[in-house]
Amino acid sequence: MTDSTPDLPADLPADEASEVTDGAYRPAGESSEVTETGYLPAETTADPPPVAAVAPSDLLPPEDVAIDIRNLSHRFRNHLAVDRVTFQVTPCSLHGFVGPNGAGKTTVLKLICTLLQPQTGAVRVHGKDVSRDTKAVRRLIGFMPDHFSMYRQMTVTEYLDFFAAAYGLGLADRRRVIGDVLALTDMDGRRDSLISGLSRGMQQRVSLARVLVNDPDLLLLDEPASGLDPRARIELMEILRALRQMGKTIFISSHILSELAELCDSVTIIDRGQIRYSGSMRNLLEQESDTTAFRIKVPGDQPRIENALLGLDEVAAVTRIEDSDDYRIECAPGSESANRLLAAVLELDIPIEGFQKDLRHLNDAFMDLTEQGVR
Amino acid sequence: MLRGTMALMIRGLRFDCRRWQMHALRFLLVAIFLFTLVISWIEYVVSIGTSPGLSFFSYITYTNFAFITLGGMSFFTSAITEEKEEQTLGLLKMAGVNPLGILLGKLGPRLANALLLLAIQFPFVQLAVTLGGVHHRQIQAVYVTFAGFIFLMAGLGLLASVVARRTRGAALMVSAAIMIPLITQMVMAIFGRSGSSHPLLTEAREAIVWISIWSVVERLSAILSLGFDDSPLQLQFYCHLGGAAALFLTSWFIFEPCTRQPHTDAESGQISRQVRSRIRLRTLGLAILIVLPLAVIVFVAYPSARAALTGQQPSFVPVYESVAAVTLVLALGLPLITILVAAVKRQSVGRDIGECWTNNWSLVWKDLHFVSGGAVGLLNRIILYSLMTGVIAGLIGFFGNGAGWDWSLLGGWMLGVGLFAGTLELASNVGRGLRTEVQWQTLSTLALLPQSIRAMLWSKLLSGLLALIPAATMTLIGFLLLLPPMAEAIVEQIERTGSGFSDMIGLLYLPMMITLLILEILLFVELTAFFALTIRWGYVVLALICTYFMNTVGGFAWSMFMILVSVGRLGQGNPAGAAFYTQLMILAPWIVATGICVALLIALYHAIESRVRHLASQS
Repeated sequence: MTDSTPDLPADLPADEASEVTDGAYRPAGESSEVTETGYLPAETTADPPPVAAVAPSDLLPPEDVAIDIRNLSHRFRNHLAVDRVTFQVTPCSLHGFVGPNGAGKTTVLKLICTLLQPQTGAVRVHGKDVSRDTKAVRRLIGFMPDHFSMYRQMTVTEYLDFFAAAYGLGLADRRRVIGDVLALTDMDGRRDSLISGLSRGMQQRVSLARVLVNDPDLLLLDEPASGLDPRARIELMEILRALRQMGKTIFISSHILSELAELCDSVTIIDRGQIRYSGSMRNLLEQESDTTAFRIKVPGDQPRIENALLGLDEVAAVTRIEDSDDYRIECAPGSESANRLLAAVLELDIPIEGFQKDLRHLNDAFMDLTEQGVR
Repeated sequence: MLRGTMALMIRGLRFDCRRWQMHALRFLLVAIFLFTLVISWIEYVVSIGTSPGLSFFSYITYTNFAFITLGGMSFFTSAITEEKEEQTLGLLKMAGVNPLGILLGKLGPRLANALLLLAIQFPFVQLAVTLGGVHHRQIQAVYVTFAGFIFLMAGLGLLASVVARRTRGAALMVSAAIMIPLITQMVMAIFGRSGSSHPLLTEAREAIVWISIWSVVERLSAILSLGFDDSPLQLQFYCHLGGAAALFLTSWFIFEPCTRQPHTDAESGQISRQVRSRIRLRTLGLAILIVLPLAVIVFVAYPSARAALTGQQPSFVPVYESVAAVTLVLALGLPLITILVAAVKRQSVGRDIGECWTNNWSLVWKDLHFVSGGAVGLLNRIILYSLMTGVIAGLIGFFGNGAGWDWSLLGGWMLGVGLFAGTLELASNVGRGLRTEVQWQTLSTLALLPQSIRAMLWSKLLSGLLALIPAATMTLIGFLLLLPPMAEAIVEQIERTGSGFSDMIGLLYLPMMITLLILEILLFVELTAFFALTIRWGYVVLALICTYFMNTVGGFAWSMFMILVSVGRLGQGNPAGAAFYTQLMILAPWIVATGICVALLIALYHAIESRVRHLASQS
């Protein structure tokens, strides 16, 4: 079950923990030592670590959640694409859906959006079964596939007007809705442009605008940021945040883990058709960590800092992060308060440029939970 | 160069081996041959045909001619355009393959496949010699003729493929290259008839025949005639071979200029957009309302005006000239007035919100405007069909027997041409509507709309029918012109016959044939739609070939009917029995053919729906 209010250290909110820095934007868990090879877990084996499946007792009633998937399986000839999948997505949340290539993400998305019929198990959207109430479900969802599904010889307005008309919107509603979605996606200035002449980022925005014309409660986005440049990607993420604030539930499948970690409240990791994790993002990043750890950033080389920190009662261990000015401080049992640790460090008169809770990166969690090899 | 060319050729051959469509096509050809063999045998049994070998060989020959002509329009025309559409032509160039290498590498496998398909038939058609009526020399001559013809079609297809941006455009160019010599020859015949006997004109007419595909028809009819004893290698073969070489060289020469600029939708789309956006359905409707009274005035006033100019009596002015004048007014006046109306109305480049029709009609609106061409497409078709009517009227006027103008003759031509062109147009529009959805991966978004898949399919047909208004108008006018003589014939039939069941059948014959024709048209449209969802290029042509195949099956049904004729002869001693067999002979093949058509229509409809659902879940 998704939990959008994760447990935090008693006296330091999660948001603050990620922003006590030297002023630069620094997301929680982002560290400079993380390299391409660093993501690989030391003992990657054929058997992934056992993961707590979503217990039936943890599941909320289907009417109370945006997406309710129970014991869902789907087979393509001899290939079992989805294997007894169970998870839920709470309303008004931004839920990430992560998995390696061929893990079954797109199949699950297509099952949710009624493009495929479930073979076994049940999929419900706001309590409505996708097999029985297909039409009602389609009214509730907006699906953006991982490719540009667009009529390129139309202008932006024609494209949106066509979809709004197909949903049966009246003339006044169409004018209002198209104006709104164009404003939201910042495409108002290109309303008369041919879609074929738009950049990839703009086409993605038009695609998102199209998804929004029927005002769906649930947005299903398959790899929305793939192929976009960094600016377009950041802008897209901003739009998604705005949509969440408008009360939409967003279910987003993506490979760009750093952005998902920063954007999503909750996450589901799928591998080889099976759910490896489903729950709050914070819980995932804190999972399997026996001790509470913080990370401080100091200016330049400070040879005495390691010994000074070890001298504190609150500190159990100090490790310098390779090739950086960061130190990882593991707290002694019973001294997990960020405020107390920070106060103690400040008393040592060490110049500090940044201080944050040390979380696992989503990449690490992903690598730990999924199997190695091409699928 | 050789390495790159070989790599392309091997890839092409491998690709063709893996495509099930190629095997299906070969299977279809074999099936047609088998049927022709059965038909020839039945004809021999019922004593219609005297030499089954010649009959069998004639069927195969003309089937081959149809296959090569239709195949050439799709098979060879995609040689270079497929690389353009996939945007891989630049990669081939970057890989160091020069234009000649690309042309040889792309055309080679296609040519090899086509020639192999022809060569493999050769041992089997020797059966015609055993069956009687055909000589070995005739078989050799026919296959040599076809070899030359294949080379010509390959050259023609390659040139069109180099020039055109898309396969569809290339196929249209080849179609034009087939039809234009025929029309030119007709026009020259008209000049010849009207007194111009310049030797250059005769030579030009002959030259057109020998360089075009129509020399194949002349050559085949000469070969299949009794007493043929010429050499297999004749002028047609050399002309076609030379023509093919010239076309290949031209393709090579223009390859670089034609493929230098990569094609983008945005470039071509923006230009056509400017025109398309300013001419809308209402604009066109208004222009038609202005032009129609003008056309009537021209028709009424033309004889007097012409008489005033030439000093003749108005009654001596040929009617076809008035018809041609009206068609010219439509073809030239309508676009001018449409542009004027559009300029007055000052339409914006983009459409306003609310122009799209709502609910299920939104899908019809989309396909009508963005697949069938919208108002501009309709305008183009009105111009085309008006010009065609004018040409037909002119030809009838020139070739008429001097007994006066015959409206029903013009009506018959208009009905025939309108029906044929309309069928092709409908199938092409429906097929393209579906192909575009597959190509742009939009089926998944359409499938999620509140409209069902069936509603989507019906909207495609409806938009195709709306785009058919010009062709339908031409057909309707033709039908109305034919109606008086038809009504007379029916009244005569009623007066002549009694009230027996056999007389009723006689009256029902025409509606029965019309029903079958409509069913066959629908079948052709459904086949095109199905192939559009299955193959990337040449779906209309494949549907045409399949319809031809079904007509061969229909021919089989006809043969069965002829068996019944012979059975019917048994009842000649008994008039009541003979009448019964006559009724059976008319009804039985019709019921069989209608039943097969209806069953196929239902099966194809479900197959198309299931295919769309499958593709939507995949895209």
